[in-house]
Amino acid sequence: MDREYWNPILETLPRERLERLQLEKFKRVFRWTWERSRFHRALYDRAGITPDDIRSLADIRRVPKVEKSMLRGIQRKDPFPYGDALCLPLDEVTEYHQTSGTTGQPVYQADSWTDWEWWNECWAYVLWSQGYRPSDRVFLPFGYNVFVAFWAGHYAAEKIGCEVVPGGVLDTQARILKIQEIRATAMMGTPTYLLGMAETARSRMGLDPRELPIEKITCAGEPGAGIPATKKRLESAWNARVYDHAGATEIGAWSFECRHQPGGIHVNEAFFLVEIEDLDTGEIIEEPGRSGKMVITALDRRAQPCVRFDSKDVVAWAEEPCPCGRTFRVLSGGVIGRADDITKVKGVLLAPSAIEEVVRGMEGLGDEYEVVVERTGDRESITLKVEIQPEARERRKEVEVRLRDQLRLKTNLGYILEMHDVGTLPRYDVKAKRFKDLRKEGQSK
Amino acid sequence: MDYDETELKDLHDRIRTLRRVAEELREAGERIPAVERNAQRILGSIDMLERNVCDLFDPVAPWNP
Repeated sequence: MDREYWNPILETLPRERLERLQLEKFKRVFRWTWERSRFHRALYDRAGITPDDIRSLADIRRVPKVEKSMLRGIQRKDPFPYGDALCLPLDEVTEYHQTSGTTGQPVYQADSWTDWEWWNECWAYVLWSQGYRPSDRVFLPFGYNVFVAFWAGHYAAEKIGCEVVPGGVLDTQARILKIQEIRATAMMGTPTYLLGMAETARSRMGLDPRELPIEKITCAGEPGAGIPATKKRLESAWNARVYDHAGATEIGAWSFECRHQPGGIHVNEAFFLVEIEDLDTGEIIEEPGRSGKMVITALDRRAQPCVRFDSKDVVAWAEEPCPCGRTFRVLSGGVIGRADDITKVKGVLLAPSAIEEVVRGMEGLGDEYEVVVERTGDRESITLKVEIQPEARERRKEVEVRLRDQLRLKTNLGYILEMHDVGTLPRYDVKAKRFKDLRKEGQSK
Repeated sequence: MDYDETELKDLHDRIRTLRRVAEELREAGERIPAVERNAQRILGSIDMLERNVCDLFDPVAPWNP
């Protein structure tokens, strides 16, 4: 493909020079934050660290981390509503967004006009790497509301020169018809929504989504496109290439799966610094293959900076470089899970994404599932509810046996299985919450 | 990708010139919102040019307000 990279210089910068760039940029954003954010300054003063103390990447580890709960605690105060983390005058804030609130009270995020340009620039790296070009007509079936979601994807597609079709107010069926009518070649959405959209086309409209002109899809907002079985379902449902992007309101658009689909996502290491911490010891993990928790710095974000933010995302560096030639490292499997979600059940460590991989990799099962973990006295149990496809009902017992075997193999756990008819389990509009840990909610029997 | 440092420095210098001109325009047009605010928007794009090219020069320059 002609002009493979959005920025061939940065994206193939030799590692030594890239790391030097990261250090210099970290020094800059750290000084900026130390000078202007009362919240961060107090944190750094307590830790006894100043910008002059940062001379190497190793020194960065001394900078205290910021967690989402800390941001929640300082907001809804002046400068309202952002509080003491704001580094620019309030009248220089031009964009308001907030987090989705799936993990608690939403966090408000301020961006200046320059920050918003930066958001769109980071997304341009994403889309260009996935093959978006001026010849694409990009359909955006999302709500255009207070969540940052695909807003920057919209403007990045424009920046690249694509034609952008906003599908905001349309319902799902109208969106499907619009894709068909205007011959859209690309779209963006959450895996949950796009799987649901395909199901709507098939079951309610008598339309085969594979015959729609969509050639490529960018997924974001939740894990899914990084889980091989889910990606395969999406690609099969739409007859399109599906690419993952992991980003966050508080962080930015920090990663992309390039068109070579290396089984993971590149970190945009010219714009973000990723550190991986061991979940138990907190030690920094450099070697590939070992998973840990991501601590991330947005090296250019100014109004409300993101400096050593504890994302709680579980990731691991990939063993092999990507054939695309980028020196931006790959995180194998994308975001593997959330440190908050990875839990011990019956003494065994469980990542919910492993269950999704089994369910969606199994022929005869629908896309939806639910997991419920409970405790009765001292005994823990885990129930998996799945939907069995009508054509597989006769082979129900066989499917159940295979499912148990795969679950045991992949998660080392035994499950109470419930097989339901397709359409029975809850459907989610945009982001799903399929894993329910009733032990945490104090709902023991 | 191999690139010519001289060419890159040339890009860098042109971008810095753009910034200087845009900043002067913003200041000169401060009584005309159409000029001031559009110049401010242009500076946002110039900032991205700096992130993509100018930051490669060591040490990275402090951010412009």
